Amino acid sequence: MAKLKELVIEKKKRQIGRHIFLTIGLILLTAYSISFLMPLVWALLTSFKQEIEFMLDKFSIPSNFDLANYYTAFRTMRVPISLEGGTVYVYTWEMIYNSVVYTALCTITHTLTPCITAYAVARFNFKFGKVIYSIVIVTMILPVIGNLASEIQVSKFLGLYDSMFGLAIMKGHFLGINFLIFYAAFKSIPKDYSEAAQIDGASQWKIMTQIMLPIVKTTISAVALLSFITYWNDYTTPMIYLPSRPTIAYGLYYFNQTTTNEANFVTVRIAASMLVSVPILLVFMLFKDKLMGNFAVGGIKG
Amino acid sequence: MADARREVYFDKELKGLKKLFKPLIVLWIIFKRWLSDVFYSLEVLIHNIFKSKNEKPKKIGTKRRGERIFFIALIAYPILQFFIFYVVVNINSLLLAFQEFNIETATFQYAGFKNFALFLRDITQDPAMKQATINSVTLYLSTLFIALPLNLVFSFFLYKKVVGKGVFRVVLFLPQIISALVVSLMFRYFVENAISEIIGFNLLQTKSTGFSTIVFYTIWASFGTQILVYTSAMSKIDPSLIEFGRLEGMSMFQEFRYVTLPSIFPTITVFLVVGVAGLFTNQASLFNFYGPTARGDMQTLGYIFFVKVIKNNDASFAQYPYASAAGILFTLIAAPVTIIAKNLLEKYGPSVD
Repeated sequence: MAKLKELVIEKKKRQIGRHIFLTIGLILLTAYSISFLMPLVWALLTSFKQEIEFMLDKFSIPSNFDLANYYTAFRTMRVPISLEGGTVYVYTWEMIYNSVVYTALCTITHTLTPCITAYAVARFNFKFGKVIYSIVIVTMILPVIGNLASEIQVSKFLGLYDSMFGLAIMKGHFLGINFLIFYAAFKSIPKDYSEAAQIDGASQWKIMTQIMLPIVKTTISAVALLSFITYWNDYTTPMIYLPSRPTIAYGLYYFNQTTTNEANFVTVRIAASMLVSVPILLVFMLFKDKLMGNFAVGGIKG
Repeated sequence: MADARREVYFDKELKGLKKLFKPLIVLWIIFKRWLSDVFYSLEVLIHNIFKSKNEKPKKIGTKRRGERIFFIALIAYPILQFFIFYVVVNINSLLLAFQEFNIETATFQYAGFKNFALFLRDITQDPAMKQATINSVTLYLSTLFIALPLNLVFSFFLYKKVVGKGVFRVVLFLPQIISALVVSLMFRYFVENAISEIIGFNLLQTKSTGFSTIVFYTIWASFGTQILVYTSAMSKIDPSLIEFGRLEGMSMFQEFRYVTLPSIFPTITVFLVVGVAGLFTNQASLFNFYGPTARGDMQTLGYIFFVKVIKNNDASFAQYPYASAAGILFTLIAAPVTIIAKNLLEKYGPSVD
């Protein structure tokens, strides 16, 4: 009887231990979440304030939610580019257009190149396929530091500098994690699928485009989504390689570095940042489950 | 996630990698064989084209040949791209390190080991460069000893289904979704306007706290990918192992220490190994904060060498060789360290008993 009591007490103790442990976790996570969301919420509130209101009280809730700052930011965000005739300004609409083109092209090459390469390596049994696989693994682990200067030189030499298509070609490599994702996806499809099609007389091209690629379309869309987010947010690559086609992300960077009259208010600058974040947050909210859910696509799914 | 997948293949591949470094010769032989295969199939292709159409092609081998041609067509562009933007770029980087820029003629000319000598002098004597080295090491160690444990602990809590798990998952992933530029700017404006109003001084502009704030920011905004990868690795741990431990009277901490940590250690290894290069490349978001004009006492090596080469003008061109030389020296340090770290971690890392 005494022993049983001891056991019960022991069990209760352990349960209390678990509860304490999880409570600590909850507190830690909550603290982090608040610390991360606080500046964002503060920024969102500030973006609605007038400069004077902001100067008087940095924490108050805006007296009225008007979009004047957003309007100013949209109107005055501009990047000077030097053409042969002199300096020309690129404004928001054009930068958005540039962003869309840049993001679309780079997402396509950055998704399809590893996809096609992985298909070739995973579905055909050639020795060179194994060489490609080794190249991917070795380049992922071995760091090469400081070849940016050389890359700029090579792209200029090949005439890819300052061209959207050139940049898309540069980003269309098969190295990195995307290759491994597609490799696993294609490996998991049974060989019978392509063999059955082949017996029916389908060409290799048909097998690839009409049977194999549709099977892995979930993987393709997830990788494309990630690339989309990366390229939309990326401003350093366009800054370096596209001097005459600034994107909206670069426009935001430039807007925060300049000291022209309109841009010189914190409230307007914050509004500009919010403006640029909206599309990406929308995309994230729409496709959240696809991104964060089970990324593993095993076997045959439609 | 992209990286969520990484561990699965890496676990396997890291082990098989030892073999890969040895046989460059084998690669060459395979390449030669492949080349002869290519020529053979081209020959066959040409032969088939010029053959009269009435003759039926041989059944045996046609299928394989068709596959080969298709295979070559698929990998032609990726291989060409790799050759130019990996092989040629890196060889050019090596050559660039031995050149110097002549401003008058706007051309590069041979300069011997001048850039290396210059860089070695700077890193040992130039106070700015010394400061940057110290900063880089500080940042690297902080990510190693603060950010990594935090990532692991957060992942463990999420894995153990703490209340509000779904919300925390999204919040912890937000730093990867919102543009790093926007997060940096919001943080900067928040610190400069709101926090400085409360504590009375500007954390970023005060010299004694400037770099610490940057380090804090780097850790604070670094969550996301790693957590996703770790939680997915943890969810693959055999439940019977945990059940057994629970019957033995194992506490949560013991479970973390003796079951979870050893089980996901191969995954941690991947991040540790890939992260070595970060010592030289981490820019600490300084470019997001300040553009090319960050204060000297905040700069890191990655930032300095990034800013040197990004402008499209002669001053930037003149820095190409110097930056390339530094990059080569960094690579010469980072590459062996990476391989040694990988081997050591695999050999002496904890394992499940």
